[in-house]
Amino acid sequence: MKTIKSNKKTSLLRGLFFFFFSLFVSGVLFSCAQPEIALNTEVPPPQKIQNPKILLINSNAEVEKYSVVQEEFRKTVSCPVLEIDLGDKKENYDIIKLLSYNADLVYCIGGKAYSFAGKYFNEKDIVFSSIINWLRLPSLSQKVYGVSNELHARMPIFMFRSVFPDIKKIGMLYSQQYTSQWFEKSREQASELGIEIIGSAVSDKASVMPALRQLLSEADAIWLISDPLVISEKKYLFEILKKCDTNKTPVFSYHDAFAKSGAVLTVSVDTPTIGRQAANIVMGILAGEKIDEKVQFPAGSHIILNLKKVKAYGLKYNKNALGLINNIIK
Amino acid sequence: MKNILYQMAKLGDTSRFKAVKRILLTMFVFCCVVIFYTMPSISAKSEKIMIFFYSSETNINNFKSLKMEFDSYLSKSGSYKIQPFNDRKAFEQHIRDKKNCLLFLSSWHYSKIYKEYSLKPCLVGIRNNKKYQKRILMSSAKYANLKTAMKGPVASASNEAHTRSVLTEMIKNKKLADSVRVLTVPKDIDALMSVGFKMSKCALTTENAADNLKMTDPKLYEKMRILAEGKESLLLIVAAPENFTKDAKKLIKIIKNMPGDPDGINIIKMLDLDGWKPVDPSDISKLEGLK
Repeated sequence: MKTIKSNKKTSLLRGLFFFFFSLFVSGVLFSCAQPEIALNTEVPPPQKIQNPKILLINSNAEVEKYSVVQEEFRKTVSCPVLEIDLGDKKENYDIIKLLSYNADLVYCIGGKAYSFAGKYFNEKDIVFSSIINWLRLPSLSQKVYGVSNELHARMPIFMFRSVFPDIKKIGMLYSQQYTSQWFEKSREQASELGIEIIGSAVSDKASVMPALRQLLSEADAIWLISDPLVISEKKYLFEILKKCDTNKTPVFSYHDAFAKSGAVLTVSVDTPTIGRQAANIVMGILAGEKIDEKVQFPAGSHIILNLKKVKAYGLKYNKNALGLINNIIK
Repeated sequence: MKNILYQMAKLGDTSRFKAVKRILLTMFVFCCVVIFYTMPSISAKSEKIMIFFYSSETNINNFKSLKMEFDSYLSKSGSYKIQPFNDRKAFEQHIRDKKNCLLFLSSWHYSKIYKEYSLKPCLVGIRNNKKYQKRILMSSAKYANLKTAMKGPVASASNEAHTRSVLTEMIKNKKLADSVRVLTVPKDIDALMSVGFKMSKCALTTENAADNLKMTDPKLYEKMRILAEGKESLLLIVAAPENFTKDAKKLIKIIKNMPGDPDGINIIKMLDLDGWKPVDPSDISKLEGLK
């Protein structure tokens, strides 16, 4: 019982840590977000490799999101994979041994694994995933491919529109420093779907609540994005959610954790799909195919609808869209 | 008993306590034995009838909500529970030798296993008043033909075996269908989006998902084209083991009536359906490959 409790506590602390860590880092990275992922692809396509071998490096297999990705990857690829876990402190990896394995390709899960691969295997083809805002990485070499950790902006907008077709004006708190490009990109994408995104830029913590009050007077819903200035601390997040709740304005967001705190709809990345997608890129490279998009957006979405809040706010929702929902909070 | 009481009266406090303890212990053991022998017959009477669910057409790995909603709805009418599976093998292993249960499975999957598991179809799902759906292969409009488009991965929400089987039937080229890379995504709409955002070259999806995309995001839809169309197939099937079909009538009726209930319809919508229809002989012919 004690072990279960302490495990729960540890996983909760770990979850909180990663949640806030991701908030901070992804916010910083959004500052350089590009409207479309485009890399120099003027490289001859790789040659088909006979009997290929893969080296898989996990930053920390104890992190659930990483281990799920690793498992799905392993299930999808059909060639030998040597797996190493950088989070395992008991294991001292002998670099010479790893090099002598002579992998044809290295797959990295998480930032730590990517740095490790860059240091020791930079002449190999490298595929990465599960790195929060990959755009912060130093310029990628021609041999680097990956799956981004952030959904294409249009994907959540599509889901918002599918579930709440009556919502036409969505408010967004953003900062010039970190997320102005993300805001512009989203606004452009949303307009194609007949949704207007109204933005309110915040410059510091103090300006968040006045900006939110202004948005609430105009918007049908608030889309909470990852910005370290908007949500610099947990208490600000709860303050925003509380204010929206009082106003009966639905909040849409990007992280599962927000749904339990009162967000009405969250659209996040489906973690297992990332592993399969990375495996697909790997198999393509090893088969000598030309990979059109070197860094891809995640292909799977995970959607949570908070029906409790939908009812409390008296919102109309599209019942036919319930088939899109992974999890319903009642 | 008289003798025991007499002994107790004769003994001092400590000894009396010990005697009482002994009696209580004997009674406890007796009760345990009685419970042990009577429980199976009680539990047999109140045995839960399970619904086992696995769809080869979706790849969602978390059915928590579906299970909670179904269980809570069905519990109002009896001892029924649903057990969803996200893996075909685990599902098939689990239903082997199960006699008193219902199954929710795709028509493709039903056709594959009905003989081995002696199944009979009871209901078929309906959507927009139709019990059939059509599978389509969509790609970006820039790909001129099937061969070019199928050089990259095909995104599909169906499991790999189902995807390859549909592709074979659709493109009439088994070699190509078997060799193409398949990217398994959670839902049909994800498959379409993955073509829209260039994560895959083609999407094996349903006409219904394409219609939803057309309605919600016509601009993205315009950038895609239909490369091939498959035959119509039945939507989700409710089936029962052959010897259980009579006893399953009550539960089948409850499931069939779900769309008429405000709570029930929401659960049915979670399965991406609007309701159920009884299976007719032509459906059985289609499902079981009879002509």
